[in-house]
Amino acid sequence: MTTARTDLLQGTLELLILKTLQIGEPMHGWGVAVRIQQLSEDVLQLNQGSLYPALHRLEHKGWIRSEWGVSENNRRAKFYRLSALGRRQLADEQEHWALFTGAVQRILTAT
Amino acid sequence: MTMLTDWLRGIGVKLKTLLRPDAAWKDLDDELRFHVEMEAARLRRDGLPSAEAQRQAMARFGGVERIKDETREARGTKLWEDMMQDLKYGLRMIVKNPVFSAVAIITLALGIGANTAIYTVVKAVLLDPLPFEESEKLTLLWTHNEEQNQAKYMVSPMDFDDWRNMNATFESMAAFWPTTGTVTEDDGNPTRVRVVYTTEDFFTVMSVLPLSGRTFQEADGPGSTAVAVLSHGFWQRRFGGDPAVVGQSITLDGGPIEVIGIVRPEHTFPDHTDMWINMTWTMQIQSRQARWMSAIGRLNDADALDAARADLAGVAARIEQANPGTNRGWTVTAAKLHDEIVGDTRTALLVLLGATGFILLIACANVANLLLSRSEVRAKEIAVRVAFGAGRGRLIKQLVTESLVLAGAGAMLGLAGAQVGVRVLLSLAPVTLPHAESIRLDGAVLGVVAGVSLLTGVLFGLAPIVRLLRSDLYSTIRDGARSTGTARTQRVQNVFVVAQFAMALMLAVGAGLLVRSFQNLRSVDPGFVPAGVLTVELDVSTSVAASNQEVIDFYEQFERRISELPGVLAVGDASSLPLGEALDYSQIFSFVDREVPPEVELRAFNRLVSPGFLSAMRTPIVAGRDFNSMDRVGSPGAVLINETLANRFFPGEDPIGEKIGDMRTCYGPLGCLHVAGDISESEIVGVVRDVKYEGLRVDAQPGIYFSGMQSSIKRRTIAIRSTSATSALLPAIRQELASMNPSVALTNVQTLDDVVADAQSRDRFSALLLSMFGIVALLLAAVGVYGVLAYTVEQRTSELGIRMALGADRADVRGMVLTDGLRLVLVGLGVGIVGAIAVSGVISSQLYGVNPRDPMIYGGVTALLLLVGLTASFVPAWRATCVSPVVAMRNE
Repeated sequence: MTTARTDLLQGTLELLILKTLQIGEPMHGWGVAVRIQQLSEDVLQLNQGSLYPALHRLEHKGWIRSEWGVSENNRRAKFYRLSALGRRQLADEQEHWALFTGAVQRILTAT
Repeated sequence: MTMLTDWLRGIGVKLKTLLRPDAAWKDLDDELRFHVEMEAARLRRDGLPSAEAQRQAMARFGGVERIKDETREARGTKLWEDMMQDLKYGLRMIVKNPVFSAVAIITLALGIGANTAIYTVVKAVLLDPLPFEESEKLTLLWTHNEEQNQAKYMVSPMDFDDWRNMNATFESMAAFWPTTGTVTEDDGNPTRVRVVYTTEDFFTVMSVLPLSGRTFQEADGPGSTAVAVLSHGFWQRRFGGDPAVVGQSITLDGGPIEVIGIVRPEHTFPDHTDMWINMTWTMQIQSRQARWMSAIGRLNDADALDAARADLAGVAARIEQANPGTNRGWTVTAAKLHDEIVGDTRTALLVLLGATGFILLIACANVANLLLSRSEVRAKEIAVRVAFGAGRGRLIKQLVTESLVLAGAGAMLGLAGAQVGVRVLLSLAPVTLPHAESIRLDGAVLGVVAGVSLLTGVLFGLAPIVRLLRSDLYSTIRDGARSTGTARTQRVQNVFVVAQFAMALMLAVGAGLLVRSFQNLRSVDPGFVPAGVLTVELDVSTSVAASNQEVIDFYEQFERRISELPGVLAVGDASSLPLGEALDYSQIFSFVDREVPPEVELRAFNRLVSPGFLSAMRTPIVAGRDFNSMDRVGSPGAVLINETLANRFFPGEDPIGEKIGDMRTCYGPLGCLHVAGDISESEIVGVVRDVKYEGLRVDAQPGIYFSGMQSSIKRRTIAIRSTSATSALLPAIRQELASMNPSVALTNVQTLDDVVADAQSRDRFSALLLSMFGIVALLLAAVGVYGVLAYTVEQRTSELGIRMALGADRADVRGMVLTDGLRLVLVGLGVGIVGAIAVSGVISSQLYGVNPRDPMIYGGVTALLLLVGLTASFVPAWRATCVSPVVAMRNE
């Protein structure tokens, strides 16, 4: 299968970020980008820059928190982690997503 | 709970961004850079060479500028951050280009400041309605007599009464009589005050409400007791604004009078009135010939002035028909109060207004030029930023902010300038500027002027973007400033420079004409020598017993005492001073033994001078003799005539010894004052050099002088020529007066130099102001041509370098640039000369003894501007020759 450059639906990127951060330890932006690519097995090729407006939007909604720390290669970097509010939001969003994709799937498979 | 803190943290981050945008920007930069570096490191690990890794990392990331923008947008603080960033950037651009910024800001400040100041004054004087209700209905009324050459003359009480009763076009009508009185203070000291006697309906006509107490009512008409209404100014000065003064009595002209009210500060009609007193006599006194009152009416319909004129002319015709003996030829004229108060200040102010309009245009052209020049330089910078993903909308916002910062600084400076300007304008202003004391900086005016300037700044500040939209990004980046659009910009700039020089020339010509006119005015011989003369006014109406002889004795004795003071050279008194505002009466006279053709009108101004007055004024006696102490009551009547009268009625003859008939005419309450006793005819004993009584610009009218010692006029001005300073002389004079009669008020202390300066004040004002504008316009135009040429030279650096490398002479190169500049200057001057000639008619009424198309002034001004243009062109031309061919070619 060739690598598909899939445009992410509006809001989907935010869901992916929340999910990525759910794993636990704080991550910086590049880490999030790499993780999303890996987990999607390179199906989802992010335009990496577009991650940052989403990260900042989430932070401003209070769903994630950020902290400046030191990266694995000893550089100053900004680390994000999920907040309690974000955790609840993620649950909601996942539920919505399931409903949504289920509905789309049903339409597409109808004969 | 944690959710609440999460939410609060969200706000906290937002606040931090708002309060410390710098830190937020830096954080974002760091974060994005970290990302790209991490990505590049990963690509290197995958085996890519370093440079290629960096390039791919950037490509994967996307447009940095756009991402930053979107991130800020995501934070919901983008608008604010952008504004702060733009502001900061704008300020940095100002600081980075100090010369450019200073010139632009000062130019704008000059334009805004001068215009706001002038517009404020013009608006207050010309456009704002008077502070009376429906003031546009207020109309001044005069009598008019074609046959006797009397325009805007006063009205007799009887005629006024008929006007008031017989007209159909006025709501109401009042008569008034401005005069002076003496208030005796509690300590016995006298103060002269300006009193206006009015009919009881005066305040109703003016529609003025009292600040305190009441104004006149119907019951204050004929037969009632006289009462006083104080002006706000007098109430403040004399009583310190004490409201208890209402109901109290003050001593006016020796008798008590009750103060019944105080009017509002804006009510100052007639100007400088201290108190209004109701006329308690009936209008049916005296003869219809006793014309001494002024009249004002309130129209039924503000737009029906012509109908009112016709109506009153009809009334006057009926009065004339019934009284042919006294009213032959007497009709009525009327003019709106506002027009009359503004009077001939209008032209002077409109000229100034036009001049400042030019300044604003020149200033705006200059700013536009500067911004256009810079747009060339910045086009490349902006193209690069677009290439990096900056949105055009965002760039436009930023350029607008920059222009606004620049224009805003100019506007602030201009506002401060206008504040000072209005004050300076008023302090320089001729004393006759109407209701000057109430003029304040006008916000609306400032808004309009600043708006125009800001708009110019914004419009031309956007030039780089416009160019960018027209051209393609690639060629702009490659060719930098030398891309398409240059020729167009250059043309626009050239037009601006031409327009600037044209307008500067028109202003400078106007200034030249006014300065010349002022010089002419200064060299006018007023008929006396002002330097070293102090004048004071005395009024003995109530202080000295009323007999004629006592009045004459008082003045004679007082002047003898003054003449003995140290330093005093000559002393004399007169009924009025030249160039003053005192009323002079002109009247018909007759010769005793001389036939005059009936079509020749025998009319002359009658004035009184004492034997010492003409020598104190150093007014020469041209023929015959001056008055002497023998020309007193009991002696034969003696008069002097001025040169104009002598030339008109005795051309080529000797008037000495001719006799003038009976002149004992009466002037209402002024009494029959001109000649005392029973002198029914007077011999002409001398001819006096013409004195400019009516104004320096006005030719002297025929005049007859009566001897002060044959007259009982009670209010006189004393002229003292001395070698002492006023500060030493005046106390001594006061002391002499106090020792003779402490109840006589001494007023109107002024030197003749001041009197003359006042008479020149309007011309000085116009000349000074227009000169200042001319200089400013000159400077701005010089900056304009300099800016354009300097920019051209910069544009052509490489071309000039090649030329010189190929052996072009430095002088040729210099000449080439100079020619460019001079061509613009010359075209501008040509246009300006045509324009100046076209509008010269406007200013002609302001000029004295100057041809509004005087070739000398046009030539001189043109030469001056040419010199300025040349000087401004020379610097860039010289710089062009300093271009090193090597450097120039390397730049390419």
